[in-house]
Order: sequence, then structure tokens, then C-alpha cells
Amino acid sequence: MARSGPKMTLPTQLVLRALLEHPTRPTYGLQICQSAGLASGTIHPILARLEAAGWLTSSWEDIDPRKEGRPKRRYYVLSKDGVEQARYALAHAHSSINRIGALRPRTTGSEA
Amino acid sequence: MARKPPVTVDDLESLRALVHDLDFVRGRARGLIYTINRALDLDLQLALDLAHDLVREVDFAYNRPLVRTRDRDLDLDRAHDLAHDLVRGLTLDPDRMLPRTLGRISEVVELVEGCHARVDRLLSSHQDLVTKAAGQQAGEPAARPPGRTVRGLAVVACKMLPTPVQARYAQEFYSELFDMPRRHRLSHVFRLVYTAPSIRTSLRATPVRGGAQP
Repeated sequence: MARSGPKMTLPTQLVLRALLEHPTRPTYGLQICQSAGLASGTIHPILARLEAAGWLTSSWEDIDPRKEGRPKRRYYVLSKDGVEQARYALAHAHSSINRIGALRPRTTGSEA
Repeated sequence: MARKPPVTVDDLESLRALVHDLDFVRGRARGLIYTINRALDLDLQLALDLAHDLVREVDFAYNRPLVRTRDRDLDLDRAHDLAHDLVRGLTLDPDRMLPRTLGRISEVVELVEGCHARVDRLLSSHQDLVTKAAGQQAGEPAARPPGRTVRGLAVVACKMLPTPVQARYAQEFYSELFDMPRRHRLSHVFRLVYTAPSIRTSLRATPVRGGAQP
């Protein structure tokens, strides 16, 4: 049975891996960026895709901004289905077998 | 042996900022390890970009005045040298250097974790200063809010999104900008503007549920 979902680009894999480190713990965008090792501000398209696919849910934290001295954060957590989907997707993300010269850099110009 | 200067209240803010820097370094290093380790079809340019990001974050931490004055306490010399060697090696001779890269990155992570632990110990051993600083800062905002330019650019990013979600993302972007160090805010908000069209596309994506496909 083939599963479908967001495209498993490398940044998407890094985000999923960061989320799967603590699958039930809500984390906010900056934390996910740091854990994934991605530049901040670049993961919102990924989070939006995962949310649209139902793998992720998000909600505002329940604080009083005036008391805390900072605005509310948006927290993300994998859905129950999302945890399973994410693990499956990560496990199969590298199952393409027809790649050769995997570690060779891209070359430009004519070959010797 | 030269005596280390005592930690002052002013140093505390620098120590906390250093912890933040080290967290970024750790994140970048882990991302690079994963990229090299797991990607079957390695995009060397991506690995090089991530390695440059790692060096930039290490440099930020390394060049903090507190690190320079406290020398062996917060020794980042080796991590700094390794990170730079890593980028040099990947640039000049990637085929030969790639197998060694993972070992070097792991060593960087280890050294940074060591520095992180030492900073944590410094902070907890000067709990009296932490308490004094908290008292001085009572009533003050925890961080300076984002400036007008950065807020304006965040609004530009939000305007590119579908109307129903603009308010949500405006609040989310503002919260992120508030949380991050000031030196990171401008680059962060430029990335938000740059990726806003992708966010828009993603939000319009039809949800695809797991299950049998025709």
C-alpha cells in the first residue's frame, strides 16, 4: 500500500527528524529550526505542508503576554497519524536504489 | 597561572547569549551530520552551505568578548579551528575530505557541548548574581521588541499570504522576531519574505491522507 504525503526533501526530513525526537512534546518554530539545523524563517512552508497533510497540529500557547513580557508562541506537535506517517516517510526516504555516484560532487563543463 | 576575572552581572547577559549561540551551533552541526550521513544522493553544495552556516555560528560564539577574556574557561579554540578546517577541506578536496568530515563535526559538537556545560555551571555557580540581575531587571521587558523596519518587512511577508491566515502568521512572525537575538532579526525577516510565496502554495495544498492510492 503506497503512502503519499509531503515531498521528502532534505529540509522536510530534517524537520520531521527534529519533531520525532520528542513526538509528543509541542515545540515552536524557532526550536524546530535549531533542532533541525536549518536557517530560521525557512521552515514555515514545510510546517504549513505538514499541517495541510494532517501530520502536524498547531495551537497558541496559553499565557498572558503582559505577565510574561512576550507575545504568545505558536506550538507544533505531530498528530498521532503524523508520527506514524513521519517515521514511515523517513525510513523510506532513501529507498531509491538507482542512484549512482552518490558522493560525487556535481560537475560542470566537459568531462576529462 | 593567571587568575580569571570574576563573573559580573553584565557577564550574565553575555553568558546567556553565548548559550543561545552554542544552541545554534549544535543545531547546525546536527543538520550537517544528518545531511552527510543520510542523503544517498549527496548535494555537495548543500553540505558546503550548511558547513558555512556552522562556521558562521561558531565564529559568533568564538568572537564574544566573554569567550576571549575567559580563555580556558570557555575554550572554543579547537571547535573554531575544526569548523574552519572542515569548510576548507570540503571546498578544496571534497572526495577525500568527506569521510573525515563526519568525525570532525562530531568533535565540534563534543567541544561545543563541553563549552555549553561549562557556561551552565558558571551560570548556576553565580546564582546570587542571577538573582541580583533579576531584581534589577524586574519590571523591564524581557527583550527589546522588534524595530520598525523588521516589523514592516514582516507585514510585507504576511500580506503575501491568504487573507484568512494573515493575522495568525503576523502574530507568529512577531513572536519569533521577539524571541531571537537582535542581530538575527533582519536576516530572519528577509527569509520570511522570501519564503512567503512557498507558504502560500503550501497552505493551498490539498490535504493528502494516508491510504491506498489508485
